[in-house]
Amino acid sequence: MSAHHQPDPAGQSFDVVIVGSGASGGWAAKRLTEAGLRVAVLEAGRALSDADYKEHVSAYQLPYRGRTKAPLESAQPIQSKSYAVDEWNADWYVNDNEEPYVDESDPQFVWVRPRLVGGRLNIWGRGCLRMSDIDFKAASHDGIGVDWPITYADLLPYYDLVESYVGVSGMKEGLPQYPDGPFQPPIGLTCQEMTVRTRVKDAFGYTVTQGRTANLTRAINGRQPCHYCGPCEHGCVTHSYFNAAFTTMADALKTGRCTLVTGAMAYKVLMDPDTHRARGVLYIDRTTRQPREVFGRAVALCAQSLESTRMLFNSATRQAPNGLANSSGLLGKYLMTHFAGAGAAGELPDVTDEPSMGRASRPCGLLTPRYRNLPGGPKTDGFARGYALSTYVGVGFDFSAPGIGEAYKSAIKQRRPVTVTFSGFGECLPYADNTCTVDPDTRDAFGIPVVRIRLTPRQNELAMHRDMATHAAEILERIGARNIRQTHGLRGQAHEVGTARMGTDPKTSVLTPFLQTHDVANLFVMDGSGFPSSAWQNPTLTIMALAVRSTDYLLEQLRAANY
Amino acid sequence: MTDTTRFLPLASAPEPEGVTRRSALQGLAASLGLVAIGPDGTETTHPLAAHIVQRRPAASAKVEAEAPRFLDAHQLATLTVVADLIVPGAVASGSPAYIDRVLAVESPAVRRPFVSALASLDAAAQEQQRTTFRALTSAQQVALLESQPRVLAALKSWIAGAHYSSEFGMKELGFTGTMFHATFHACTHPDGHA
Repeated sequence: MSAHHQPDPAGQSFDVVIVGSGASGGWAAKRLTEAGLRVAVLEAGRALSDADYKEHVSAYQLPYRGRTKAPLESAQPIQSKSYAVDEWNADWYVNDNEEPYVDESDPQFVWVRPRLVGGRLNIWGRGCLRMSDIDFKAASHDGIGVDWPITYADLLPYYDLVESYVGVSGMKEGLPQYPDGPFQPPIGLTCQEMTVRTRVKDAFGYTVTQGRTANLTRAINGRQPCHYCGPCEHGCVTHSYFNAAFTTMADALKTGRCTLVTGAMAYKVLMDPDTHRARGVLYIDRTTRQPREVFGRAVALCAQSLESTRMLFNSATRQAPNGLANSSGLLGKYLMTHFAGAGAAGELPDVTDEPSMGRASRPCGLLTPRYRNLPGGPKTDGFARGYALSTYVGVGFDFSAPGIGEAYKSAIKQRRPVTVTFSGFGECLPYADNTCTVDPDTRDAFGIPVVRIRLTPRQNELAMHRDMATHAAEILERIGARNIRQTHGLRGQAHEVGTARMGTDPKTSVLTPFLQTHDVANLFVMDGSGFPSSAWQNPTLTIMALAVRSTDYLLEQLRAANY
Repeated sequence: MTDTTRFLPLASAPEPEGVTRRSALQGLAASLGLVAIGPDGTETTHPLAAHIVQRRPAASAKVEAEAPRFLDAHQLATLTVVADLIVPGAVASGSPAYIDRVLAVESPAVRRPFVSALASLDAAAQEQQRTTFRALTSAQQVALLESQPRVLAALKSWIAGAHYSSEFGMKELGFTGTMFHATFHACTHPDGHA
């Protein structure tokens, strides 16, 4: 998709103004324009074309070969902490000095933000995991938090629709906690991985499966199957992974009814004080720093949880002094993510492999889905809800082999026992004082008050982390591993959800089950803000399914001329 | 989910003998459905096809020609000697210059242990032979390295890290230079494994 020159849309009216062109915004734009409506999509970042992608640039073509992040640290002290930010793609992300945030989390929360059409889909981990009623109705069973106001049956047709379009490669496993979908053929497990899968199943009954990944094994819509070259987060000229930039947004633009405004720093939802309806969006042009307004019959915030919530706070009016759509007082509360960084690793002396730099690189690892606190199973001592284990089986070069000279060079390549690594990531409970608000005294380079965040893990998360490490070590021991070492790190993943939770009661929720704000009938928030719980599953697939469902509802309202 | 333990860069299926670069490109493009045969038999290659291999290097980024940015002449010369001892070929692959480039931007916490390890070679050579490491014979240098396991380990990690991230070093470990794999090496055994 080329960067095309758009006429200045300031002052124009559309059917819907969409903020954000990523996971949720791309679907909203596609579905609305394909239904005949005109939309404006405001995107803070720029458009990339295939020529900008660098997945085929080898490390040795870069000055530092991607092996140090020191050159990034001045402009990007926060972004550079993420595994997804490196010498190949650092210029895709915010300059932390231009776009800071105030962080009260313990440990520090690394808030990763690309500034691109397609948003975080440019660099996501591509994990597509369905939630189930075990998650949607968890509160009914353990009394913690609130249920989702929807069921798996409500979301199922949307999961099917989204997965079919996205193209998700996976293995059907029949697990109630990890529902199957219309998968593309699996990429497959190596022989060594199959051994681990069998042993874990025999020892514990747990399933170790291919991670369900948004990478094609069959062509769809002109997108080619993956050719296993390596780092999807450096781009993909064959369009083999899922990125809104060359899928949903491209579809929307093809209709001729989508006006994409890049470099648009969305600031406030504009309100009509008489009708108490949204009129449009005020944004700051990134280049000129001039304020601009676009108008719509409805507004859909799809900017990612923290950015959409920030907009609602920054849209406070005399009528809504605590933030727009915040009559419940819950806006910004119950912020959640998944916490990761704990697990264990060990070697299997009887399962060996030869390391090689000549092999295909599968764009996903393995997954051991949640096995704790499942219905019909034992309640785990010490924590509620559960977690999954990202699972890796493989062998690297033994660069620390002893010796020097040719003997050393030969030793590093030798066939040796595979390493099995389990790395946990788990559900975070909703806490009213894990929050996203704005700091009125700190503005970014565009004059917009910045996000202030507290996202601190508590007792349940810490107890879960201990289990990730100790139980992973038990699994390793039972399958015959040696040299088992536990890891006890703790870091929040880029899975922020929950700051405008959905519900049926306007006193205890911000959004309806269709992601419409209770307070403002023509204002929607379609990203992860609406999640009442985090579950253990990566949120993006559910965000996309909910966004399509919400857009269908919005479409009905617009067709009925309700606004 | 991303496998953060895999190391870059990643590689490809070996090219068959005698395949020219152009025919390899056409082969790749064809397998991606990017080559169309017209009614008169002419081939049209989709612009995407060129992009698949457009960033293949003609040669590695030339690192050796620049003056050192961090190390002084003596340090660089010492590093050059010890690099080829520990990892033969590390100098030809540009390792000393690459290490110097990284040190020039890194933090004191990273620089200090390297500088210390390198200087430990001279310190040990002074103690044993009253001269610099560079001035020892090869046999004496090898013996000295083997007598200093922590110093050896520190230098080895830098030098191996540099050599095996060069194009030449990667090829020694199986990298073939192209980036296309039609399939993944999945298990085909029907009964799984125990």
